[in-house]
Amino acid sequence: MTKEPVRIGRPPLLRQTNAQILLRLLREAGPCSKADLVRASGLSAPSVTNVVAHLALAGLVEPIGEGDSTGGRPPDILRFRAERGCVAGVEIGPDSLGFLLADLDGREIGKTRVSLERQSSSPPLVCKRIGEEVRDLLRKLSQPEDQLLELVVGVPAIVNVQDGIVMALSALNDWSNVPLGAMLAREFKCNVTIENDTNLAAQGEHYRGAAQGEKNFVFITIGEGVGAGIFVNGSIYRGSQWTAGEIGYLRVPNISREHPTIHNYGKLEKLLGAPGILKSWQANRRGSHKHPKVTCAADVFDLAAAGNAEAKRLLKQRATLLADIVLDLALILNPSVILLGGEVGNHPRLLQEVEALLKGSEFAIVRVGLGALGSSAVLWGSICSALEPAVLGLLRPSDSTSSSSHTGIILPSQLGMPV
Amino acid sequence: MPKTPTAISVPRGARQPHLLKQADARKVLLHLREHDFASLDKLERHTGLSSSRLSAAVSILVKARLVERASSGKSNAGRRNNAFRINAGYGYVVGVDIGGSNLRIALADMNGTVLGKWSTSTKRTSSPGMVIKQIAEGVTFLLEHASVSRRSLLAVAAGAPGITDGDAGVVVTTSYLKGWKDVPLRRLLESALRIPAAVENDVRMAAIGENWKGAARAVGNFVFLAIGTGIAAGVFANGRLIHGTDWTAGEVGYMHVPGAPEEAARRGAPGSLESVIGGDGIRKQWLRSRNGTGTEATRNLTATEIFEQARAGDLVAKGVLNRSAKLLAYAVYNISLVLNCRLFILGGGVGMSTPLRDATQRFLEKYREPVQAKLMVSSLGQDAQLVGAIRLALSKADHEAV
Repeated sequence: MTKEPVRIGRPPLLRQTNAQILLRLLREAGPCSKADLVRASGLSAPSVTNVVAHLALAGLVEPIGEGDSTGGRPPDILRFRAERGCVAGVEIGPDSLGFLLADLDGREIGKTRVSLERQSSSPPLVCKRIGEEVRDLLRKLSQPEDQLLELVVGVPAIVNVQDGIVMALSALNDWSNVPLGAMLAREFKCNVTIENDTNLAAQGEHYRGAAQGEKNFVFITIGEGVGAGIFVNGSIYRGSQWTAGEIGYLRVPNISREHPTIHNYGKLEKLLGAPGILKSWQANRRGSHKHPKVTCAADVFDLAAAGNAEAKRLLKQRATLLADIVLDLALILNPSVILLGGEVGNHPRLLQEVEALLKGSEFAIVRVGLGALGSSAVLWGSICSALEPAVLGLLRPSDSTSSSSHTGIILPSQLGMPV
Repeated sequence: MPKTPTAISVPRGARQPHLLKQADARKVLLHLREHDFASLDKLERHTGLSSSRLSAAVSILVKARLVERASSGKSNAGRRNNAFRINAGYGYVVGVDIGGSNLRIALADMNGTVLGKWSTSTKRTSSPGMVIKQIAEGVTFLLEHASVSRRSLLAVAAGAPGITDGDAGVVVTTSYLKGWKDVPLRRLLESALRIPAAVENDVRMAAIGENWKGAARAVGNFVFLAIGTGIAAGVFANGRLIHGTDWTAGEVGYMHVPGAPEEAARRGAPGSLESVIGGDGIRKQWLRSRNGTGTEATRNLTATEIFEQARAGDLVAKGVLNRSAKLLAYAVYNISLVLNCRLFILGGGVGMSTPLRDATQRFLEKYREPVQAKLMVSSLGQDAQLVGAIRLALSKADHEAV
């Protein structure tokens, strides 16, 4: 407690909002002067001075020299210090763990993927593994552990985001009502958030993929299971009990009767997911002589593209199911675009078939496309949702005082600003 | 990621102190709208404002005469016991429900208390110009009868039975009124009545009504499902209406569910689902299953009457009710999955049928995971739209005042 934070005669909320506005400008436009910030933000010059001082104290901006003079004293050019900290995204998959580290500008600084054996997929072992791998990654990047400001974990399950609880996960054993957030909080000093992986994938596509700038869109992922991440009015919509977008249970035509339970895949999911497609293929190929080599669901769709009649029939069947899902989502939500992703969903042939089927129904005119980030959508979504809380954490008064113990803090007086 | 300095978007927010004060005042007003009156203590708890900001906000509202002190009648009226309520006489608003067959108007005070209602038929005269003229007539009539001066009329809101662009204030298209295509309804209302106007799709308007005074009072996530000639949903998500990209969110009459026709529906024609469980669809089912038997009277039953027959034990009617309930249950289940929404309010001529609600709820008992949907018949009935319109007009008036 060597330095008092700069006293600013404004409600703290207002200052925080203003800080976010200036940070966004500095991040999006790159280095600029205070005068530029005044012009672009519409804030008064004293406000900008105060907020910049606050940001400098939190280590988030620094002067990088003088700009061109327009007659008077040359202005100080300010820069966003993206290296002030880093954030981590983690993806828990059925057979692997993915990790991505980024600076406060969302630039990748490191990543890794490790395989996860079934016997080591219990919650405590997974937590331990995540702790080890993240620390290992930080060490390799020569980042001290307290540089990590925020960790966001994507799980293929229904997640109570508020309490960090994994409610039900069908792909892994022993994962029901797991307080993953609390468990991981013991591994890390930083804030930990748990989120459904499909929601994060949608967030990722919105952040830097095929849904940039879209306020209302849906990201459907089809891999082992089927799910949808829904954006309404510019943010993820999770529903009242965290299960929005659980489309694996939808009742569409051509689905036989079966009552779902939350701990199993829905019937639709069993058919449309990768295992279902492989199973149908193998069942139909039994006893056949020529046996094209098929190891994954995408192979079946490739065969369909190459003209294999059996594969074509299978593709058509799955596309019909998917078209009905797309139609339902389009009618309920009227999104601007519905993106397909996941191991099965991002196959161009499937998209083609679905588009052809939807052309028939004139009413639900909805653009359907493929996600742009492929298998890294979830991790980028994690990074995106980690960035804002990471920066906000640095702006909180208690944090800004403790942060003065870090090296590289620029005091407002050094910036030549009135304190 | 490429960074283009030109693409800077400054987030809108409480950037200036006076905007912050305005936001605070609106917060207080919103709370008072939902609760008839509230003490400072209660307001402090519910708005989360500090006591100094709260008193500033309240004093702005009291000075503007939008809010008044409510005398609690208790003698120990210290500062903490000060209660406030909306000043009902601050001004008046008009709610309008433009329907395919009726035009209904209500005049209400700032508390939303209805002072008078007026209605007329739109069956023969439904051109936009005629409807506006009728609305103006109705408003004049209501003002005279309630002895309210035109000057104290603050805002109007109208619900229209079609795709309605709330931002532009335009009714894009509707199949229920002839000659309505890209009608600038808000501008027409504003120039006819010389007060600020708001427009909204009628089903969403009903959802607003149910959320304010009906079966979904203060529920943040629910679906209002209107089943009449057609089927449409008004969706509240996190306390806000979902409109979608082209203002067509909730057009669920075109949904594909097991057992409904699968051929693609063309624009203008009834959708797959509504062709079976819309009013006409149910009558068709009824006639088909009766195979031409029965008296003229039984052949001409409405959907609601057919369902009542089912309740009375008629086997054919039971069959129709069962099939309709099953399809409706699929649709409700699908919507509840996508939105993770529990509460469904059924409205509209067919939707208000209790036998249909009961039978559909029985089907839904089998689908408990991940959400068990709960069906309720609209408590406002055919007034839902009008109540919603009054609520929207009050919002408009509040917004203009603070």
